[in-house]
Amino acid sequence: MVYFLDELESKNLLKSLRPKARQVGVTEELRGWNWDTSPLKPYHDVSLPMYLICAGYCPTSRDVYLSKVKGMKGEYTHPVTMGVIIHDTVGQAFREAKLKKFDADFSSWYESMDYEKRLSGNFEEIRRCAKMVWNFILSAAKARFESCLVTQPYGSPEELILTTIPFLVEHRISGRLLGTSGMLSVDCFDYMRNIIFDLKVGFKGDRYRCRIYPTGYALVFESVYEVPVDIGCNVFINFKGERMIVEKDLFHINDDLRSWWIEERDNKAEIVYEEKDPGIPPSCPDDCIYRSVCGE
Amino acid sequence: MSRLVVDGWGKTIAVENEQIVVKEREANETKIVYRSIPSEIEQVIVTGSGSITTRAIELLAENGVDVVFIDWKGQVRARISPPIMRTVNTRREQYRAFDEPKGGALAKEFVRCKMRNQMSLLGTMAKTRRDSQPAKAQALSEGRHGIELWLEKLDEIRTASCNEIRDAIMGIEGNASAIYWDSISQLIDESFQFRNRSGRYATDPVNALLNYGYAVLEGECWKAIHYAGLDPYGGFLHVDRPGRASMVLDLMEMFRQQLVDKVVFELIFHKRVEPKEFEMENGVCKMQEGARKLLLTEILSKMEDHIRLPEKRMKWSDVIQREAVSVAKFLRGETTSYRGFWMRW
Ligand code: SF4
Repeated sequence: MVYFLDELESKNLLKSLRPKARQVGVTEELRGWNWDTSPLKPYHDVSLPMYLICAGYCPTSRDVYLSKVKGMKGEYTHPVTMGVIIHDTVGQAFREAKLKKFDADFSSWYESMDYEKRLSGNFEEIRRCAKMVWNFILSAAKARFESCLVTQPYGSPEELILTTIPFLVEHRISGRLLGTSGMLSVDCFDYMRNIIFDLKVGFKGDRYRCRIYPTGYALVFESVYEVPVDIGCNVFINFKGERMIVEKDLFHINDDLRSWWIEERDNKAEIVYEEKDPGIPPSCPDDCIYRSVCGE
Repeated sequence: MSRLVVDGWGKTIAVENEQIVVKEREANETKIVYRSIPSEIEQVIVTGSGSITTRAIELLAENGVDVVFIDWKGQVRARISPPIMRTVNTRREQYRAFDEPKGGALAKEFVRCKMRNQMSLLGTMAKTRRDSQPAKAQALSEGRHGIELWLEKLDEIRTASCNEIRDAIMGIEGNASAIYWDSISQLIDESFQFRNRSGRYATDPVNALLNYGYAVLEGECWKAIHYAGLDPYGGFLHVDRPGRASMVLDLMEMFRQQLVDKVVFELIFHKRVEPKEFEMENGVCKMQEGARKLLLTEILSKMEDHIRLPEKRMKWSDVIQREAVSVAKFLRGETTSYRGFWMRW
């Protein structure tokens, strides 16, 4: 259920993941609040958006060079547009739910965004999928809210909303302490259970690699708020005909992932700092937004 | 479980009431300075001129404890290990793999991990010097890059039997190591007279420290290889030579940087050892007792330190053991590939 954990996921979190995370722990130097010492302290004075650090879909990281050194924007391909619109839809649906507008109208919001003028893709399909996501989130939020109403009859509506939908969605945070962009947007932070969520739409690649995104956000959270964030969750949304499929990958943000993120950040910052073109790899992924630039 | 280190003249490891004791003779008096039940001992290291009784060796062997003798030059002089516990199957597969791509894959992986660890150590040292010594940090970073380029070349080597690819692998390893030690040498104070790795017979204090540290690590790796059921002499990367524990040396490659180099460099950079604590004897640089004890204590306590792996928090000594077991499993065909050990920082 997008960011709500189902029964099995909750059991996994409480009985397996949390105890394991406590047992294994995290090395102090790899906590975000140690941003001013090695290895977390950025080596180059460069700030990068999180997606450039984590994406890894260009085998040589030439996308970083093209974007930050050459200032080139990639194309809005269909998958990119789909990703943008679904992220916006999820964010807006949660905002409506928090205002208890569980029957908010999708069409009027969608039209107001003028997507079809700004972006490109197969909008018929995108709109259909976005609507599915919208309806799904609002009905799930409504069900959660109403079940909370019956079990907590004395809670105020605001309190109940904050408890039943305990998510900061598209939370803005500055990653400057860690050499990332000053205007990051975290897809979702569950403030009751301290989990960082990241949303992936139509993703087909290596799911393990995606763990690096919540890891980066967790480090940024730790650097700003100085509280430990040990659990991350990737939410994969895919569409199959008239159905939407949601899968989650919950994991411990361990030393390995943390140092991997640091390594990626440093390698990519170096490309920008030294303005070096890393070159074109033997093969490029089909959906790379720079294919027309690199001529592959 | 603890590690018993017996160093210095006049100390004897013996048995009293089925317990392991260390006796020390002072003037005309003999007193017991250590006492433990053997099952509480993980390993015994005899360094300097200590001695051990036959009964103590038997009791330690009965309890699966191995005994390592290390001389002042930092060489493992002898080992006493309990009888083999694993099946012969592992060894059969180990010998067979030498002529198959499996052996070459292992050799390549050991070198790959060694180079990754060299890179991470240089990278970490560069980061800590970024503000205080920018020129040195830059040089370290360049060294790291240099190794990375050789790593790409290593990846290009097709996997084949050890004999077919060993020269190419060793060539790359040699180039990477030259870059690594050259980068390190720029950080070490002139008074230590460190130019490069000199190997077996140290001619300067840094090499004396490294050799001794590697000997301690060798003892640990030997134990791990032994318990995993592997033949310590049947290596892949290191060529067979009489008396050379090639498999032990192979396994060691992945741990030298994190467990020995790091400790040695920290002792030097923090001035915990000084050049005056070393002297030349017959052309070999020798550590004085104080420096030797300090290094031994630091490395052994590092072995007891915990490291956080993705799924577990483990002692370094257990990580070595785990790697040896993984190699054995790969050789027996219980796993289809072997990923070695390296750290990102
Ligand atoms: S087209 Fe190829 S080289 Fe260019 S950015 Fe994309 S993946 Fe990298």
